Amino acid sequence: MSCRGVRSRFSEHRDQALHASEAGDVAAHLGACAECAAEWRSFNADLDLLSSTPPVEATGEIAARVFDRLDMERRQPGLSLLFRPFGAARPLIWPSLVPAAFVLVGILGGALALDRVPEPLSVRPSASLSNWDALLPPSGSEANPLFTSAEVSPPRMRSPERVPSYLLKQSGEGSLFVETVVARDGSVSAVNVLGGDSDLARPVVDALRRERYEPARFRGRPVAVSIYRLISRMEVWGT
Amino acid sequence: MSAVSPAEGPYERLARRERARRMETALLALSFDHRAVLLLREVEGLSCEEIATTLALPIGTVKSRLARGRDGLRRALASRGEETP
Repeated sequence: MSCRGVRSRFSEHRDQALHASEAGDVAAHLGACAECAAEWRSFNADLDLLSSTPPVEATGEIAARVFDRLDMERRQPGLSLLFRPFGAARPLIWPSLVPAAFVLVGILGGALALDRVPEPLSVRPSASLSNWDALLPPSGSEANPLFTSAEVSPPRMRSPERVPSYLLKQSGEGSLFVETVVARDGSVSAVNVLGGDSDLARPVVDALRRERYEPARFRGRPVAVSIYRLISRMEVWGT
Repeated sequence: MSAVSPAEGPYERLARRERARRMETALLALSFDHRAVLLLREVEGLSCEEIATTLALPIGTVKSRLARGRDGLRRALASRGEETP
């Protein structure tokens, strides 16, 4: 038996685990080879030194933690295995990834559900500040007239209906502040007296209702507008 | 824990501590698998069959790890001995 073969059997020879014939060969070689014999003595001396080391008794806390961990590893794998310290051994790590995969799928599903664009509502929502326009009559109609502005051209009077002067003379020094709604066809759809002499109001309102205009226009389209006028005796006397 | 005999002098105590330190360093140089089998065999005194049962390993694996652990310990101690003046 070669020196290399003998030295490779040191471990089993120390444990007396070799077959009788092999053990005899090793012993014969050690008796004949001084170098292997010295190596064998050194081998045993090192291991005897290790064997003479008294085992370290674990403190109660360490032992409890070890037994806790052993107990956890004996149980079925679960999420707790994922949250152990990073350097700790993770037995059954692959089975424990199954619940982790469920959690991940749940999170992703929730994110996708939140990210989906909601379906438009089939039922018209109740009135709120955001949809007042839907409740009001269309802008520019007689029920919801516009005001003249840079974009809304003012109506031009086509056949002014003057207030009869005798009516104003009868009413003395009065004056009226009126709102006239000029409809999309040029007629006057409404005259509202906002202030002034009530005695003067009726004949003046009747006269204003008979007025005809070129309708106001917004982007080329005729629209109803409100115009405000202060009518005084000076206006009548001027005719 | 440490077996200190009353007759141990300062030199012997220092030598024993040095041996213990070298042994600890050599053991730490081994892999966990080899170290576990080696300590169970040499320090705890378990047989190879008992180690195989404890670690749920085949008996052949225990024997091969034990042989490699012993060889690795020997080499680690020898290299440390050469480094130490």
